[in-house]
Amino acid sequence: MDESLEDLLDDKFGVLSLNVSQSPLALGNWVDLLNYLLEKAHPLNKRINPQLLELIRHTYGSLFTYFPLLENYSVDCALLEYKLGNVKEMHAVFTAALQRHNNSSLLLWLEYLKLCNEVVTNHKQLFRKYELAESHVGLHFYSGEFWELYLEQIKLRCTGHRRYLAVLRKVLEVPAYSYSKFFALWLHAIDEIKDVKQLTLMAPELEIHRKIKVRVRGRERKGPQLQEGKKALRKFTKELYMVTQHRVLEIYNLFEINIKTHFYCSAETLIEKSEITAWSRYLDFSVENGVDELTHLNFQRALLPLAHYEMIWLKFAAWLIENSQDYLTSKNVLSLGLQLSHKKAKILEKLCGLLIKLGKQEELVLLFQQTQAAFDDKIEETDDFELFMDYFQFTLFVEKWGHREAEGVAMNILRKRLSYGGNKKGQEELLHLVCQMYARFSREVLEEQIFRLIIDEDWSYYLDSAKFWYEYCNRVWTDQETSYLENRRYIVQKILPLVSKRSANAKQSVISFCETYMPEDVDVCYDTLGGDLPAQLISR
Amino acid sequence: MNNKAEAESSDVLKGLEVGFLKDNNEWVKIVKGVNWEDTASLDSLIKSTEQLVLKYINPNQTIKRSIQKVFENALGRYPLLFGYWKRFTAVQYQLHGLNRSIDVLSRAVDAFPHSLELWCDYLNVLIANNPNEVDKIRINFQISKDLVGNQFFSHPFWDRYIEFEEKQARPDNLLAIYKTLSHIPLHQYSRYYTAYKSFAHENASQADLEIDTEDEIDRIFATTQSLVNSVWKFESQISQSYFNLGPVPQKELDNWNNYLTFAVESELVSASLKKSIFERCLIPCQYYEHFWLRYTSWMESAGDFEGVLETYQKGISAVPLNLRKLRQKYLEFLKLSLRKNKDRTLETYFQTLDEFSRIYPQDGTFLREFVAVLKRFEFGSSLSQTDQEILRQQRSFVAYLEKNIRAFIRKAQDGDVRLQNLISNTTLPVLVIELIKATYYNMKNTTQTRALFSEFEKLPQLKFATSFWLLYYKFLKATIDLNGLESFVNRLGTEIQIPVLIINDIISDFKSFFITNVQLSAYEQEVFEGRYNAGLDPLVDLDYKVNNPLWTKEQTAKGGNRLRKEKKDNGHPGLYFEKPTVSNTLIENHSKTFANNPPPLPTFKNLEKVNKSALHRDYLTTDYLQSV
Repeated sequence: MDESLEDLLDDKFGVLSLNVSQSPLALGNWVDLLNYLLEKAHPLNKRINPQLLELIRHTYGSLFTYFPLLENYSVDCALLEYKLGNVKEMHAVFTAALQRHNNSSLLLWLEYLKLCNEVVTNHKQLFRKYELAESHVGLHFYSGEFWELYLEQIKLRCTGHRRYLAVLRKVLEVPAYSYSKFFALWLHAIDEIKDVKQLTLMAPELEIHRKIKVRVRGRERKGPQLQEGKKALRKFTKELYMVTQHRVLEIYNLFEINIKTHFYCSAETLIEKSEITAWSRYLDFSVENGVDELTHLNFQRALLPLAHYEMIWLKFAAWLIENSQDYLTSKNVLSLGLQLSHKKAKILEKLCGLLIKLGKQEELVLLFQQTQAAFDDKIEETDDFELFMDYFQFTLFVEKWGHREAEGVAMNILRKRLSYGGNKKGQEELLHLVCQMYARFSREVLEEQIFRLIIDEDWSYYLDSAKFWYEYCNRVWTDQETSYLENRRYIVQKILPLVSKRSANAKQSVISFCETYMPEDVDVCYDTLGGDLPAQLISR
Repeated sequence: MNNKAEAESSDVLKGLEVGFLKDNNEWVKIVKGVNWEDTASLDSLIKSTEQLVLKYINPNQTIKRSIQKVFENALGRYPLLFGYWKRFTAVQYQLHGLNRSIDVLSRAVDAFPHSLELWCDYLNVLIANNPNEVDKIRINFQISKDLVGNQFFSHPFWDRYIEFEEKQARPDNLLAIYKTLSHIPLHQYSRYYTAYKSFAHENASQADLEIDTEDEIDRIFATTQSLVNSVWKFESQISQSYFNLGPVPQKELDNWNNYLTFAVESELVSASLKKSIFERCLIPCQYYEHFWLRYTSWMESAGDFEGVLETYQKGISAVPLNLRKLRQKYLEFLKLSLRKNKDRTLETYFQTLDEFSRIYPQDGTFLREFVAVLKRFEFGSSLSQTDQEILRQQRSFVAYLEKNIRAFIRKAQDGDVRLQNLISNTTLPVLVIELIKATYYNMKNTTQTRALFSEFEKLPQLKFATSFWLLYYKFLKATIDLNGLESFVNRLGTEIQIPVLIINDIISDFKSFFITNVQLSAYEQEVFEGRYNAGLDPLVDLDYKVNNPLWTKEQTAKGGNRLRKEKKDNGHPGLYFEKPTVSNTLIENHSKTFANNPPPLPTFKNLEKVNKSALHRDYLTTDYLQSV
């Protein structure tokens, strides 16, 4: 008779699950909860409480939503299913986990394939998995173990040497940490050759004929020919060994030796600067030197330890676009990056650009709503100036999609933001940006809604600053709609008198504006700004 | 040794006989090899020259001339070395007699007017040799009184002055001396206190002399005494009051600085005394811009326009060329003076700009200032004038600029000489910018502006002119010329060669500008029409150009047909290596593809170079030094 779930779990469950729901980004809470549940499920066997099993599955599922890159937990989850005898579920868990890693997790593949070796009886099916793994992690620097598994299975399950040698031949060229082992296998295979015909398993017949001068189908005496052929093959092997060794040592000494973390770390863990730079240089090197497949894999590898650093996401996305115009993958990379990276502003900006380019309206709208919601619908209060700028610019840009009422709303946000004055960073840049939105805001609108507002409200942060007045004069001066005389008159007669009561900084900025653009009015400028020369201007 | 020094030494040796040169080989060597920055070297030059005078009792004219030249060169460079003036006087006395030696002293006090010693010597010589020229002597006393009379240790001078007037029996003059003297904080002030008192006592009967009463004298000297006490704090710390080559010790500099602060702030210190302290400070510290800046600031606050000008000019001729604050301040002073004192200042201002642009030929600010002031005074217009008049002035200004630019480019002679003197290949952009600004902002002629841009952007002088390109960018933005902007950004780094930092700024600014000024629908239309397949997409591609100005989209646009990658890089910038590779590598092939037919045998490249050391590629030389 099964106990009900309520009977099985005690008060502790409530506390643990509450912890998780309150701070879902703290990995420790999840670990506590999982351990607790797994303890309750002990000993594992087929008679496990189905409700408890369901609960554990769900917990894993939610964990992976928050922490998609936790390889070991995926393995644990799959092993759990395996131990319970749920082979189908085990496959599903691995497939899903691999998907989260774009099939590029060596660890997951190894664990998966080991289990597959046990449970998959159909050779074709099994090898299909190996082939898939080969195309994704075959060039991994630590792929030696994978290749061993592969070769072992071929030996076990295939008759004849052909396939074994074909795979082994490829491995010889892979720059992997344990490269020499495979050369040993290869040399051993050469030693094993008993017949000239067998040479054709290792190289095409035509080449054996041309380069090694051995005629497989000839009538010559086979004994010396065989020795000749083996000798030549060994020579090629030795040369290949030199090349692979050179490549491996290069990669190892320059980069791999500096990389110590190979797995995803929780958000609180800081990665050493030296390791981050090592990755950055490694990736640059890969892009310059390598095979695309390997570069892609290296990016995926770097994502694990550096998931919380924006650099890696931006670099990956940029490479995808530049190298193969793969905007879609790039977009997916950035989406995941947005979730995981500590700093988000730059990723958000790139993502917005991509979404617009790809025409993904719904996603963009959703993204904006999430961003807004993250700031309680008051994004103008954020201290992150870049984030605010990007949000402001993009919302304005996509107004047609109707989730914002264009300029009016933008102007409101802008005015609110500006009203914080010195309490927020980047006000001057914002002002400058608005002033050069020639196509959006005419001079009248700007004057009425921004400049006049600031003057009427007497926001001295701006009025005593140099930048505000310079920007104001400049906007009037560059106005396309009005004539030179109008502009000049307006500045001299309307703006200059306003500055006379303001700080020396403000005055200085207007004077330098006059000197640059209207030198003939410098005297008037001095007169208007208050009679005699301000002493602080002289001793500046 | 620089050219000037070489010319001087050959001038010294000019015309001397071979025999003489041979006999005085040592001296010739010293003349040729003198290091003007080194006291010891200078000293040995003077000493060996003096020995010539001893050696040749009656030298010929050429030798005399050479000896004289040595001194003149040294004192021309360093007029503040008063010891050399004295030695020159002695030498001159030997060679040419009394009158010529007096001439030297008279030149000495001209060249170094604040030297107490030189003045005392000069006056002594005058009194001793021409006792009858009373007026001349008196005038010199009066001149020197203002120049050195305020100095703390000037009592020898005053003693001599009093002695002189006593001999002339001029109680009126004596009284004037005592009246002045009683207010000056002198080291020996108490001596003069007694002297003044006894003078007052002796002359009490002379009613026409307005002698201070005894109480008055007591009061005056009490004030002076307290002033002496406060001044003594600083005076006692001065260990090097004379000019010398090489840096002044920090302790001295601090002391002078504190002394000046005290003098400027104290009300007891009279203006002439303040001036005297400044002048004395600038004897040892004449190469220190800081003190000149203080002096000129004080002079400006004191308000004597001519005096300020003179001080600036003295300072600028003394301060080393690499220090520019004083010169900058001078220009600002002149510019501000243009308002009140235009007639007196304008010419000086233009001359100074001209002079400075000769000293700093790379700096375009002088030209810019010149054009601004020129526009203000020669093409000026006031808003009270009629529209036609104002616009006419703008037109003639534009015509003037254009004419001068073309004159410079064609090397023609018909330009404004004042302006042409300021233009060089490095400063030409300044003028072009002014022309474009006037055409665009003042004439509001967009078509003409565009024509000017496309004409001038081809000039080699403007290729690296950041401000020109920034103006161009600003213009494209103001006219919302998106095609122009996109091609501008595309050309950055390749055709437009400005610093990478500025390129980065332009790129990020352009992105903002694009997003905030373009309608989404317009962008979508362009995407649809495939414009951004090959061209730079402002939403996605701009970041590639940041810190990588040579990046262009063409490289990647071909998709599969990309250029072969550089495989020589070994992870260290600038180090290249011919790596051994498999030229028919199969790691990009799936192993399944050769399951039925084995892959070909590997072929190799650079296998023999496996043990070769890396090659260092020197980008500094290839990219910069050779291309410029």
